[in-house]
Amino acid sequence: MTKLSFEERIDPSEAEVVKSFLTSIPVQVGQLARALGLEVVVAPLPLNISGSIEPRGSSFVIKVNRYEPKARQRFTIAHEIAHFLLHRDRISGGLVDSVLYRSKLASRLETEANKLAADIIMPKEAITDHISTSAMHDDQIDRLAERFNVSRQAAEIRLS
Amino acid sequence: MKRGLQILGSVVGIIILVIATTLLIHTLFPLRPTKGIEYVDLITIVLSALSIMITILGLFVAALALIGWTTFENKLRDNSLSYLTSELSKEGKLRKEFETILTDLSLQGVRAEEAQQLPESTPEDAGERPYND
Repeated sequence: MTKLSFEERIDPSEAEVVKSFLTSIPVQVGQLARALGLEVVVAPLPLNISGSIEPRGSSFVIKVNRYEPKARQRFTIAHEIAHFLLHRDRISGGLVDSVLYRSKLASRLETEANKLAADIIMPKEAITDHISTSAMHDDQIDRLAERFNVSRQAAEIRLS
Repeated sequence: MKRGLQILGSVVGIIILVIATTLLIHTLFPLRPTKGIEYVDLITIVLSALSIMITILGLFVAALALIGWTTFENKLRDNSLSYLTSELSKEGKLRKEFETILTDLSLQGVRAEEAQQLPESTPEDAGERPYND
C-alpha cells in the first residue's frame, strides 16, 4: 500500500480539481464528479450492490443505490471517483461494487479506492481542524459525522 | 492409531496362543526318536517355517499400514490447512465466495421486506435520476 498523498498519485490537473472541492464541508461529491467529467445517477440497484462505474460515451457514469442512506451514497460516489482517478485503465469494462466495496478488482485496489474516498470526503486538514478545536467524545464523533455528512462508522475509521 | 494397536495386540495374542498350544502338545505327547527323517517330519518343518515367515510378513505389512495411515492423516491435515489459509486470505477466491454468500444471506430478509413494503415504482422511479448533493 502506497503512503503517498493523493496529490502524488493522481493526474496533477485532476488533483487540482479535487483540491478545489475540499475546502467546503461537507464536500459536494456530486459536483466534484461532474467537474471531473463524470455523470452521477441514483438508480434502483440490487440491495447487495452499493454502486458502479461504467463507461458511457467518452466518459463514465457512476450509479449509486437509491435504497441506501445519503451518507453512504456520498461515500460510494467518492469511492467510484477514486476508482476513476486511480484505476481508469482497469475499469474500461465497467465495475460493480458490492456493499462491502468488493469487486472484480484486487482487494489492494479496493483498499486504495477506499483510502482516497476517505481523503476526499473527510479531508485531512478539515478533520485536523475539527479535532484541534474539540476533544473527541462519543457525541462529538456524531457531530463530526454530521458535519461531514458521513456515517458514524466512517468518521470513527477516519479518526482511528 | 488406537485401532492399529488393537490389531497388533490380537496378532501377538494369537502367536502366543499357538506357541503355548504347541508346547502343551509336545509335553503331553513327546516325540519318539526315529532312525531318520521322514516325509511327515520334513513337511511339518517346512510348513512351520512358512507359517512363521507369513506371520512376520503380516506384522511387517501391518506396521507399514500404520505408518502409511498416520502419514496420510498428517499430509491431509497440512494440505487442508495450507489450502484454506491461502483461499481465505485477503486475495483468496474462497473468501470472496463466502463474502458474497454472507452478504446475500444477510440481505435476504431486507429483500423480502422491500418486496412487501416499498411502494410500486412509477416509470420515473424505475429509471435513473441525476444525483444532487
